[in-house]
Amino acid sequence: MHRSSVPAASADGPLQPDFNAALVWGRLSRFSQHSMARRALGVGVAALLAYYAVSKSVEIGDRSLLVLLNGLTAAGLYFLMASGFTLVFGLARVTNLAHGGIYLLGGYGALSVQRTTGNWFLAALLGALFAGGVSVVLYLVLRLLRGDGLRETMLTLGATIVIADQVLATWGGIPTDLDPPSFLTGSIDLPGSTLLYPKFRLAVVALALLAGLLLWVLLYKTRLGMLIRAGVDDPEMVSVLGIRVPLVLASVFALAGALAGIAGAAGGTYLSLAQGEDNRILLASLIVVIAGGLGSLRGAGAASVIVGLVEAFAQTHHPVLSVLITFGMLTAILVLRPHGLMGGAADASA
Amino acid sequence: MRPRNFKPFRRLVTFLAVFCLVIAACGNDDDSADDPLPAVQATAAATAAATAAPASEPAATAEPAEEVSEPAPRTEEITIGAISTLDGPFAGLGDFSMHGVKLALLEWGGQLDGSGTRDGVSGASVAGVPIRLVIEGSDATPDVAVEATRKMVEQDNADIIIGPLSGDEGLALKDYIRDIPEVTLVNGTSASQDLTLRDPAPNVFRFGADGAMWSYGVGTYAYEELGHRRIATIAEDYSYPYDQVGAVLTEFCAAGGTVTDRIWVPLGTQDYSSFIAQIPDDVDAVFFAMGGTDAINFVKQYDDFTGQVIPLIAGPTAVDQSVLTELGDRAEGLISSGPVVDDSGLADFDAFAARLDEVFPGQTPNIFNVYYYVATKSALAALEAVGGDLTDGSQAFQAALAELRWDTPIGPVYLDDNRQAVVDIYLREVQDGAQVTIDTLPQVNGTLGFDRDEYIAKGSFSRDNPPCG
Repeated sequence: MHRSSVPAASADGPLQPDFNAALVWGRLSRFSQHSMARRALGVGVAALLAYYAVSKSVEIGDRSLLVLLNGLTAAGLYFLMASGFTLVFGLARVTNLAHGGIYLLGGYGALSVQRTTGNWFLAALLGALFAGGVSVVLYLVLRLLRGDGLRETMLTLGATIVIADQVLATWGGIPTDLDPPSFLTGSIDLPGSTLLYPKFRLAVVALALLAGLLLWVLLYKTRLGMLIRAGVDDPEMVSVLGIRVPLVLASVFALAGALAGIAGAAGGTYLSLAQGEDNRILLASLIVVIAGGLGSLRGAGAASVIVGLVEAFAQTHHPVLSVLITFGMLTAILVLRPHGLMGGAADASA
Repeated sequence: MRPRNFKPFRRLVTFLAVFCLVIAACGNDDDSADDPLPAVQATAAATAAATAAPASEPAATAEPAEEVSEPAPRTEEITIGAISTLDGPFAGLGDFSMHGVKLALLEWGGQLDGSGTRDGVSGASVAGVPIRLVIEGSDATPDVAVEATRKMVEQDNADIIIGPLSGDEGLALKDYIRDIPEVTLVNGTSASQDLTLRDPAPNVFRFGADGAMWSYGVGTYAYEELGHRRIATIAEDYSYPYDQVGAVLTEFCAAGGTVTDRIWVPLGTQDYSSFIAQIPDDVDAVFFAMGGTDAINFVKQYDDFTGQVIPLIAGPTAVDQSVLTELGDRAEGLISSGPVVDDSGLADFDAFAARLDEVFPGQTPNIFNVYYYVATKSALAALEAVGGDLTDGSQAFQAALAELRWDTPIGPVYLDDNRQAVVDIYLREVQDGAQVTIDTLPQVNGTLGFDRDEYIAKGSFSRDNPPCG
């Protein structure tokens, strides 16, 4: 960001001969607080980035389609994880670091079901229920520390370690995976090119869209959703009105757990299940949630697409810098919007 | 509503800071948290420690010693500390390595204390001196490995360390153990070249090959026999894959081949789709060097995305027997070099495989159980040779180790002046889920047959070393 702000600052007025960092900084920050200037800056930077992305993509021709699809499939998995995380944060104000562990439990639960029944959908469903159940148990434990944010977070972190060890003891440490349902096995030809794309990955995008739609219906068209939104806005008022907040909280935890469980089953199919996957997916979804704005579902949706696409782009064109670019983007978002893309004012209304 | 929104952000910063710190430290937490030792056994250990001679037993607090219950009044006891990755992404491989350690101790009269990974072996003795086994785990990060080893050396008075498992852990332990000359490190499966090649430590011994040696022969084979002229490589971005890619390219380029792209992937990448998209269409083959979960993820996704139209050539651990089952049909026909094949026909190998299956039902030989077995057995054999006497600061023992020559389950072994093994390497192909020998490359040494000074002068393998047209 800074790189692009410097020329803008000199456009604001010629540099003083008695050059002084504090002065420039003050000028910069005053400048950047001006909403029109901010907008212009933002548009300029976005245009530059877009130009760069397009020119890079043209270089590799039809492979850009792969990059786009890779970004979207990653976004699908991230959204499944981040939506639950952000709901729990929005309502319960708990930073649930056990979310990755619950992902793993959902995936391994589904694995066990698939090994007995051979049915992927049944496996994913039961895996999700299992993960949802564990999430509710976690909520019951967290209730003991109600209101003490730091201790709650430490407890969820402890839960991650317990879960990882239980997974290790139950399913062993050798990486494994689920088989996709037979009609989603294999790849399809991408139109207009010789490239292949695995069917299951496309199905993950559909799954995420479906989950997003269902969440929207739940939040905006049902009584429970109304309560959840009210609880996000003003928990005290809601409880004063005679609504049983713990029940609402428990259902949100169950929902978030189930979403993570589904994500585990999906991720366990096209990626793999292993020790350490919990932390990787947790880190990815943390980035998404923070970039999107803690507590904002729409933000989680938008950020998962952005993070997915940026990551896929960076891994293709700048593989060695890819991690740096992802975090750089997060930093840039936080500099511009300290509460994330749709945090702040937006989360009160969403 | 607006003011409230400041809270989450401030909290977030705190949480993230805490989270990062704990992530960095969590291997240690794991160790104490999941110690499966039941209270009864802990008490037994404490009583034993109290009744035993007050000599060398500072009652271990955080982690009670595995076993201290030899009935006979002991004169002196030798402690072997075994370290492998019992937590984290390589946890499964850690189990295999401990199988190897325990099998060797059973040959010296030991008995398993239980079936768990951290259950020790009691009753083993060498030349009348009782051997105690202490087991510690890391999560494959160097700092955790050093802490665990420090604990074994300082609290458990370990005389001999067997391990560690991964490359960078080995380099960290070399630097730690160098300053404690009376303690001896016999490497497990750490395959960094520079554990022995450059700046070796006098008390570090490796009875197996390094990553470059494991990859020996496959570059020449790809050029001469498979007729490949242009290849791309894709590998994890750290020292051990540098060695594998480096060894393959050294041979392949010397034969006249070229490498179009060297793609480096962050360790622990889940989704390889965007890396696979970079592999050019016009190469003859793709060499990939990855381990554990990464190898499984990569092969699966490469198969899904390309149908393996461009054939893969594998790094040694990418198609190790420990992951072959999970790789399934996708691994069929993959060519690689490596230390362990299933059809070597060596009597020692078949005996090892039979014994392994008998003691740990269902287990089959792989790099990890074989290498840890060879390391432990080498240490015990050298101990036998010096009559179990380490009172001279382990000098005689270390000399005996350096002179040791024996026929391991995977072929004969002896050490060079850097205490690096010279071993047989196998060129192999995956057939029906097993590694089948194409060719045996006898007596491969740490410099891959090049002149030592010349080889060292080329510098450590890195992202772009060796250069290649």
